[in-house]
Amino acid sequence: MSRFTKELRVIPKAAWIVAWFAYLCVTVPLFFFVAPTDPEMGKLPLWGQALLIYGFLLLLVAWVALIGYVYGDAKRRQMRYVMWTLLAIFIPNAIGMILYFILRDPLPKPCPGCGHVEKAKFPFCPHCGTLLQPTCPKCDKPVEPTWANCAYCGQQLPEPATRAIQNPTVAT
Amino acid sequence: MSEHDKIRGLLALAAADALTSAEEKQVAEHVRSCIACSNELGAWRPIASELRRLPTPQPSSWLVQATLARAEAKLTEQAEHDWNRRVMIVVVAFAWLLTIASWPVFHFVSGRFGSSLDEPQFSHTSFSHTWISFAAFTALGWLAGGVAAVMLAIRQRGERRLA
Repeated sequence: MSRFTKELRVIPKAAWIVAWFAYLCVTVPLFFFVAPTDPEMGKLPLWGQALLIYGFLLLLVAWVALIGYVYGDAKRRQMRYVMWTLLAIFIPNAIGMILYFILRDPLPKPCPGCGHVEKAKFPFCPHCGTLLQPTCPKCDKPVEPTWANCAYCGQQLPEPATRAIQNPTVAT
Repeated sequence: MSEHDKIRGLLALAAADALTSAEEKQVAEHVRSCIACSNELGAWRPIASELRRLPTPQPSSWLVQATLARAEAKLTEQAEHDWNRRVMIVVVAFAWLLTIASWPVFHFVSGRFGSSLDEPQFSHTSFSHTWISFAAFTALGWLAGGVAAVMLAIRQRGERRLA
């Protein structure tokens, strides 16, 4: 399964239903009732009117689907999904969506101890206390497994084997 | 550089079996006719064989583990970065498309809204009038986006400080 297909599954089914329902609710009355009476649209042939209305308003489907994606993605990233969905809806011209993609958090990872999915930035699992990523013995900030020194306080870090002993797997 | 000097530079590598087949052939041909080079190659051979008998340095398990973790993290990060870049391009293109596409919608809706009011000043909404309203609407969108961006950045900074 490609990455694109995987990401499409993030969009809730309800969003697809709303998108296509809104599309039909807008396009059908526009095509059958508004377009024939409109002086500018009426000049176009029937196929032109259909193409313009049904083609152009596919943007509406894409817009609702993107809002659904923001909702689903913010939820799986344990972000404030209601706030982000509202921003995506109410800030015009998809600027709310652009902001979301700039500011979104990294994907959470499952805890190897209890399986709960936790934020990537957490050094310990809040459910079982398992060490999710090594921390600096001096300042307790998360460090990368490959670092030789802490990037925050400069403390020389022990090798991973000894790091596990100094940082017990389960917090006491 | 003469042929002799060039071959002399390759003798140590020839003893260590580190030459390409073409270079090996070249060295072998020269050594057959040059006693000095033949002697020098003979001197290099025991050194190379002794070096081969030395234990090969093995990286520590920590180094292997760290390198593998680093490579995996780098690959994941790169894939995520590439995906995010593509998504951003698509979303920005979509935002522009939406902005451009909202112009005819705006024009159409404002025209119909004006005629439904049946007011002379609205019924034939002029192009410039609609254009100004559309520009104001777009500017308002960007302004709202800017304000939201600043507020969110301040909030994120506060969250990072607390973490």
